[in-house]
Amino acid sequence: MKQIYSLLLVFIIAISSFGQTPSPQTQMYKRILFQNGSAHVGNGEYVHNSVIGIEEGKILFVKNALTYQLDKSEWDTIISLKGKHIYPGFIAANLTLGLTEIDAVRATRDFDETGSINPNVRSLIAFNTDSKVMYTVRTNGVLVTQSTPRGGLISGTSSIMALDGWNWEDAVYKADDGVHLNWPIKFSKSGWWAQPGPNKANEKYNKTRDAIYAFFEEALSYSQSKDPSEKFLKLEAMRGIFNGKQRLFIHADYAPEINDIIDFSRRFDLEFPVIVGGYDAHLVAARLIENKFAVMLGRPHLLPTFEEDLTYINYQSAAKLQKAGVPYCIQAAGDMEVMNARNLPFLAGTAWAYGLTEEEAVASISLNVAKILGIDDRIGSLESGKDATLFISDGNALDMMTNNVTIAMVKGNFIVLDNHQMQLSRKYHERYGIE
Amino acid sequence: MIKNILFGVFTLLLGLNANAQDIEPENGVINSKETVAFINARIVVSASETIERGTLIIKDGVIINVGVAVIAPKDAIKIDLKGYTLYPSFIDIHASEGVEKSPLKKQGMGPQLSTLKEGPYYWNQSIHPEVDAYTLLKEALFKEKAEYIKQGFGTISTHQRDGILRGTAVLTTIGTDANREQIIKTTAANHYSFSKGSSKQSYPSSQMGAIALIRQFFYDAKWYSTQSANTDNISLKRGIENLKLPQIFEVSDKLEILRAVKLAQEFNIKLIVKGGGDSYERIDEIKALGTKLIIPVNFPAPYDVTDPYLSRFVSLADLKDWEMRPYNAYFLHQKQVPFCFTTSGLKKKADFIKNIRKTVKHGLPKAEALRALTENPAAFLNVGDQVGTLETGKIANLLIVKGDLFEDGEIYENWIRGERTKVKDINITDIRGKYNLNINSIVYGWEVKGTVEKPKATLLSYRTKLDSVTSISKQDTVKLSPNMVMNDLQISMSFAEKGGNMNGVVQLNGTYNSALGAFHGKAKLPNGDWVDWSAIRNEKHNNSKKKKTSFVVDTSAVGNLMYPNMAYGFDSLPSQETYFIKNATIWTNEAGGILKNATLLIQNGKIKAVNKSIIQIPNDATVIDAEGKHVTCGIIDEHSHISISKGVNESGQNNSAEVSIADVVRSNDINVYRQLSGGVTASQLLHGSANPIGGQSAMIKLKWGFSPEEMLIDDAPGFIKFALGENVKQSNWGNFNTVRFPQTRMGVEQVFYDAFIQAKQYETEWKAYNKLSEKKRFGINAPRRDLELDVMVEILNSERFVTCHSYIQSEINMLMHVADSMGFTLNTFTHILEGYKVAEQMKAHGAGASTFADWWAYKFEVNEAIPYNAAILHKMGIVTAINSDDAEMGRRLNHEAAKVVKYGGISEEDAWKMVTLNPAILLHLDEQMGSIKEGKDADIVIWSDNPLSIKARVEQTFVDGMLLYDWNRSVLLHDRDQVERNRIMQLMLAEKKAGASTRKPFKKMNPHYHCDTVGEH
Repeated sequence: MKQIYSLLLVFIIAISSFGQTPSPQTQMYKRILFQNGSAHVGNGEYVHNSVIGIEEGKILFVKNALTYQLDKSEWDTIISLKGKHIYPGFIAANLTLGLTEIDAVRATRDFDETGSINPNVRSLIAFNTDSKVMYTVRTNGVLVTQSTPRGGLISGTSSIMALDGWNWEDAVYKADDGVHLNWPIKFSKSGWWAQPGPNKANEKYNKTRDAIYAFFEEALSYSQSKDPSEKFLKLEAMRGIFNGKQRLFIHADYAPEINDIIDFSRRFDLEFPVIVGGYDAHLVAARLIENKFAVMLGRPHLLPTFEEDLTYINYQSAAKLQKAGVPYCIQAAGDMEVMNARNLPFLAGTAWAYGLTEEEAVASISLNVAKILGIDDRIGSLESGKDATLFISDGNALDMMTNNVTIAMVKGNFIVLDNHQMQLSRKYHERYGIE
Repeated sequence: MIKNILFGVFTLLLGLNANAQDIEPENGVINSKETVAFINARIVVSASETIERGTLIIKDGVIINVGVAVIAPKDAIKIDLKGYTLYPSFIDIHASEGVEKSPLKKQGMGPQLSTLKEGPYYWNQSIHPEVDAYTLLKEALFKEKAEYIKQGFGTISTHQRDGILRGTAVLTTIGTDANREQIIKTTAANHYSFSKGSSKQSYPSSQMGAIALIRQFFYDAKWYSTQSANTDNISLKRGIENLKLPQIFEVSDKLEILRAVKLAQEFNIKLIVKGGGDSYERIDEIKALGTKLIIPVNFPAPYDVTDPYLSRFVSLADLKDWEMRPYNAYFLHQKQVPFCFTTSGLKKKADFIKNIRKTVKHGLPKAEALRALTENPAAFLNVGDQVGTLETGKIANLLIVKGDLFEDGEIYENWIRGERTKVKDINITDIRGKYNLNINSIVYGWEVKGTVEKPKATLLSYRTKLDSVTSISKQDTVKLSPNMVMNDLQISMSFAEKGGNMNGVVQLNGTYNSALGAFHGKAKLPNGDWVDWSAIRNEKHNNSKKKKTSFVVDTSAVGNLMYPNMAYGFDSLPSQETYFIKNATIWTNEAGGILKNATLLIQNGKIKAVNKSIIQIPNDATVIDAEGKHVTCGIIDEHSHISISKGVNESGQNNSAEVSIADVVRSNDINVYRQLSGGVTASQLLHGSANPIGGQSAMIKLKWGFSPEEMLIDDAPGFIKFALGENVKQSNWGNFNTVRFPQTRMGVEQVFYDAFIQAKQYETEWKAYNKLSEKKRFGINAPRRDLELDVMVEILNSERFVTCHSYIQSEINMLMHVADSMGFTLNTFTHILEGYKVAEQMKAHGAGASTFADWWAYKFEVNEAIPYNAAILHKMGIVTAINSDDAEMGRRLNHEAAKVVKYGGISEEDAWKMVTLNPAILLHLDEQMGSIKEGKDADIVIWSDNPLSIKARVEQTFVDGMLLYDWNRSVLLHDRDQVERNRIMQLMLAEKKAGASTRKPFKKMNPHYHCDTVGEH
């Protein structure tokens, strides 16, 4: 009875909020038990027939249902997931989700500040919890994002945001988690759109690299003084990088740049250097491991850079890093990345088809991401003590055909799995009288 | 007076018009017309005739006699050329030097919609057949002249290298006399290209636009020539008049050669095509066209491939091109394609002969090289009777060469119209060697090294040093570097002495006596004294260090051609074979649905049989066991922009119905191969969406390795792209593009009505004209043919179908009203993201839909796009397809089809049809593709799994019964390419080591078009 009610509740809310983005919900149950679902834990483990206990928004345990002694009275509600799959909420790292609504409309673009060195600009405060796009993303199981600014040499500071909340203060998972540095490329494009010219050596590469070094040198010495007499916002914003509280995300793809970045990281003794992109990461895997790098891999659904590369080279990158032992995750930045965030599960699915095991693929967009972002103590897997930020899918969530999210929780609260696209679909199904 | 008469006789005899000198009054007394006899010379009269020792006589700039037994007239100046060879000098018929540039300059940032050229000329600024280079000659602009002469040229045909119809070239010799005495032909050739050059007029913005513009111009010009119009137009007149001249079309690569010749053939114009140097890649197609070629010798420098990471940026295609370009001439020779060389494209003209020798080393016979430098260019411009050989009666354009011109010979003199230019001095004395130099009894060791022309000296000053402690004297030698200038036999030299025999500068002047090998003269010492000096050579310069490298012709690499000549190219083109596939799960898209454990027979490019219990398996069949695998027909992409050259949009006008993607199919796009690996076998290559009425489509099969013509589907129905919304009203084109009509959706409707109403009137005119009998037509002019309106008429008559890029319901509705009122049906709405809102109207109208599975939020007009669109349209009974519009997504349209199962609950079979049968229906190609049925094209894909599953991978793709993609073979090709790269990089590194200058690696970007690709990308 209870479980029917809880599902019904979601449905009623969905209908009542027609025409608007769904409201965040308040949890009415203290203790919730999900039973008989296939649990993809996120850390590589899989429990075919599981029981998952949740108390006050935190995961109590994930156990095998066959050996679990159920006492119904312990639970406010028990939700049966027979034949269904339960996953930790997927995390979309390195995205402008929440910072832009319609790519082509300038007024909605809030991710690229003017100027080239902007570590002090913060994505957190521009994060729009009323973004219509956001609600079409979470319905596919993506429940958390690293809202990331773009542009310039140092784009700014990102924050980890839940895809649920009344406002950014509600939604924030981890404020100001890291600074994003766009490493210059050694080759720059030329030509025009109809006949792109060659990629030419970037004459300014050394100059730009020197500018980065100079800024970091300055920021490093500034950070050594706890209370400097003169305060500078840009330098203040770099403090966390040197005291280990923030991570440095360095966007780069190719080995020549990555090798320079490793040297750079050694110079500044970076604690958590992360390569974002990493087309060539597998070629320099040993050096990356030795220097404590992690890699947030570029979108697997990208065309190869080189004509000689196998068509599916990007599909295989995750498996290569997995094999090499480089800490990595998959992210989805690229063309139309905001609306495409909902396809993150299928990016992992593609990596599964091209070399990862299924549970490795799940980890590549859950626990692996949480570790790299430094929030694996709270989310990323279905493990005891973590937030109940999770979802249930009718079928395999990494496959387009079977990804069908029916229940989801963020920070222990059920979320309404509705969006304006579903509403429009219902509206016209009704209009035409079709099923 | 007598002289003049005599000269007149000569002129008659020679049939040459060389009397310009007599027309112009002389300031002073007239100069003598000297006769020069070259005796004892080896004379290369032409590519096919050489006189080993003979005499050649020129008079007044013309060759008057040549032969073995020719006796020089007594008054002739005789030049003894023993040990030298005379060659005819070279001709460059694709020069652009010495001609003024167009003065027209665009002002402001907005688009320039009309021409800046004032006067009675064509409406498009890139069409100017009226530009005659002979009116624009400026000696001061001819900065390369000296280098041309050094390289052995005597004649060039130069033109204003700008625009599409460029105007005429002037054929001129390049002597020092005033231009008017050099010109052989004022209008020697008519020039074209696909590039609009300095014109900034919006139209054309693409290569297909340039092609359409040339077509329309000729229809206009022909029509105009039959009119007694009351306006005069010089461009239209000259466009026709110039057709009497040789027609030279400049292109940049092999595919453009095919395009240019095909276009010219439509108007029965025979072309000489100036290619890009890579004709070898499509040599068979080029041979078949029967065209003549002008080829550059601008061979790329080797890349610096020292670094393994950086060298990846150089594609295999570029590596191979580097290796193959020097063979280009050899290929043409082998296939007997007539060709000539040009310096055009060379960064430094000084590299010309060096590179010609390279082509000879790469297999081109010397005689053919000479022919391509002399007789062929002369013949191409119909001036073979005036230049090109050293036969009697021709202009005295000749080279004096020591050694073999095509090995390591050196040009000493270049005579142009009998006027002598010394490149090197035949009489130069070699003073190099070791001397004892004696100045006022002080002896120096003097060594002269360097080249004959530029000798360099070192001087050894011997000093005796006395050690003050031991009182022992020591011999010491100090090396000095004197300044030395040799002018004929006179020498000037100075050097500074310090703490030696003298203190200060010593200056010498002297005379060389070559018989003695000695100098003598006067020197001025630091103290101002004049003294005698002399130097006697005791050792000649030793030349033996320069080992003569043997001249080796090597054609070993010509066989390394692949189809296409790049990564994953085939060593030889695959052919149609017989395949028997068994134990497969076959998705038929027919009434039988999905067949388990089924069989399939492919033969002669067609599906021969499907799942019949007893099939006679042909003996030659390759049997494929597809146990556990799924077999489908190939994916058809209704909306693709891969495989297109130079522009997907002709955005210069709001109606560009006249342009066609079929004119610019690019067969060597790696995305063709990549999409085969995603199971795509056919695509509609659509024009972009930059204007309401776009261009015509190309329907292709993804036949990797084949030519553009072979990729085009025979007899495919005609399609045209229309577009609505933000792209056509230029909403996202920046602040300056606010001029072209339309700028609102309101204006878009008017563009359509206007085009169709015009088309109806146009059709009426033509119908009326066509009804007239032959007799009645006499004296009545045919209406002007308008290519744009021709296409609009085809649409009205349902002879061409419309695929319309569309988003918002209001505009979709609008266009259906336009079509209804004009009496035709819109075939397909593509994108159609708000189709779900107007499904009933679409159904009533009869339109199909081709949409994205889940794209939205990238523009304002897609704010109400929903992933349930395809499902709703399908449920409403509309033929619905899922398309890519994107080279990346084109590789995994199976993923996109699977999303329709997720969003809207469509069955797997119906979802699969959305990327196969339904697009076939929309493209009117379902008779031959879209399902697995006997008699249909054998476009077959074998999948590792259910094709809609995320786990599915393509194992094999067949197009027309040819296995064009194979998972395992692809890996082998990948490995082969790595080995091939390594082989060529080794050659490059060897050249680098040998001192060749190298280029930094760079990667050529592959265009990645979407339908709204305009502006920076």
